[in-house]
Amino acid sequence: MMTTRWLRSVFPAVLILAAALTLAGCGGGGGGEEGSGGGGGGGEQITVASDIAFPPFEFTKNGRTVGFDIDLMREIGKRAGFTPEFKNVTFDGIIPGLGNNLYDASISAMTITEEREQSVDFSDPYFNADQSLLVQSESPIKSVDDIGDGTVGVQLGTTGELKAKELKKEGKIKGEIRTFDTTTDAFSALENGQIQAVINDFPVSAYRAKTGGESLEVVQTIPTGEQYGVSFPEDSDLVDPVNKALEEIKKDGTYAKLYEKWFGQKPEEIP
Amino acid sequence: MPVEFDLDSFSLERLQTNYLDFGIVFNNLDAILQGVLITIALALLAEVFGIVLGLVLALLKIARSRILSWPAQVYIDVFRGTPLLVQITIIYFTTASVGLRFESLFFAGLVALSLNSAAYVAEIFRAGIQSIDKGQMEAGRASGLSYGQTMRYIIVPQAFRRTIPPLTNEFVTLVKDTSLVSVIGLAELLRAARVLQSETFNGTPLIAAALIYLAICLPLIYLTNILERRLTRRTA
Repeated sequence: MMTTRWLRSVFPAVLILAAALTLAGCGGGGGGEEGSGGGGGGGEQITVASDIAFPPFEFTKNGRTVGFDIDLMREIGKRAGFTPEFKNVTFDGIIPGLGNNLYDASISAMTITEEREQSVDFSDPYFNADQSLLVQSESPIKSVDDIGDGTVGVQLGTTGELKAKELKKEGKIKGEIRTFDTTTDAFSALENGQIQAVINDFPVSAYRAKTGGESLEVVQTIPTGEQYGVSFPEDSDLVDPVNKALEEIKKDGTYAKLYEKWFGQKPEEIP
Repeated sequence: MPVEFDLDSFSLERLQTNYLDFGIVFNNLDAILQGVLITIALALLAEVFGIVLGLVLALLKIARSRILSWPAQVYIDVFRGTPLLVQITIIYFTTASVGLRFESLFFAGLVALSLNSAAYVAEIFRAGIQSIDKGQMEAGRASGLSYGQTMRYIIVPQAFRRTIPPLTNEFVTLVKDTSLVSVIGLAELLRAARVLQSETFNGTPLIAAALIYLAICLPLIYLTNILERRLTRRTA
């Protein structure tokens, strides 16, 4: 008796919930379509995987997917004749997903490496993932040659730390290299004037400089040779059109415009 | 799977190269020794400042006037009731925006440790003072001494003796707590070891750091036990 009454009251609720979930699923898909269709790319729709939690390359702002990668991919689509539909995935799932043809492409601040090239195809590089020198806006330090006795902050275990140690060996840094657990800590110490410079991934520092008022400034980028690329399943037909569109975007000034929009400065060098 | 155990990468040889490759430490002995020095100096100075400030706080807390005891109570509650790591982070990373800028990491760490230790030391002193028989105060007052005089010449000296074991214990705590100061980037023992670890991808520097903490703390822990035993024998 109790059981049937319980079932009778629960069963409709489950049905309604299921219906709601189905609808929400459709709604979500529609929303994504709408968001990506905004660029007016037209042509066929392709699925682009991205780990959308890495500002300023790809992140969510007011419920919309935005970022440098997102803008760039839409622009590429406009020229190559497709509309990207972004699919939020975990970074480590991108390459297996491409291998199983779950996605048509991926843009996710991914460094081109030989190891990855064995399982996926990459476009031409679209971003130089350099290191950078971040200082206070009024600082007399304009490049690594001016650091002298100043204290340099780095995040423990990063490329930035290695670079700083290299500069110390070369004698360009004479002061202390101070390690922090997070870049946030290094940035606040710099803002407080407790250290004189931070050597760190360029995009992260540039975004901090751009969003944190006018207090900090990237005065120099330090090349590392690491570059980001758009990735595809092996032997994808999209590689050539994407490379062609990318080439145009780099040449006609659109790249510089996008770069400035997200990093607050003009690119020193276009890959 | 929340945890995976890869039997292939587990062997006696790997344990040895990853944890007991002390050559790494000896090749960078300067950095580690400097870290040890900073750790000891930090703990010693914080103990001294903690004792001074803690005694003042204890006397304020047991004062009969609410105006004196209440602020001391609040101070002790706040510093004992919040994590030291939070206190260090607030003191170093946030005070610059209101004009208080710590140029020296050592000094910032010292301030945080001393302020924190003072709260614990205050409780040690309060317990010590209150453990002295009430008759002592009454006797002092009866023989014409004021409250302050009785405190100063009769109660506090006796109480101080009883607080030596817990104060030694507090020093052990301080030595270990200095490792928390590494969060602001001070190259004390833990950070010196972590920098070395991130350079070599080897756990040995951290094991060495642990052994050094142990070498400092363990004798003091046993000393505390001996002191405590002696004290109970004498007072019993």
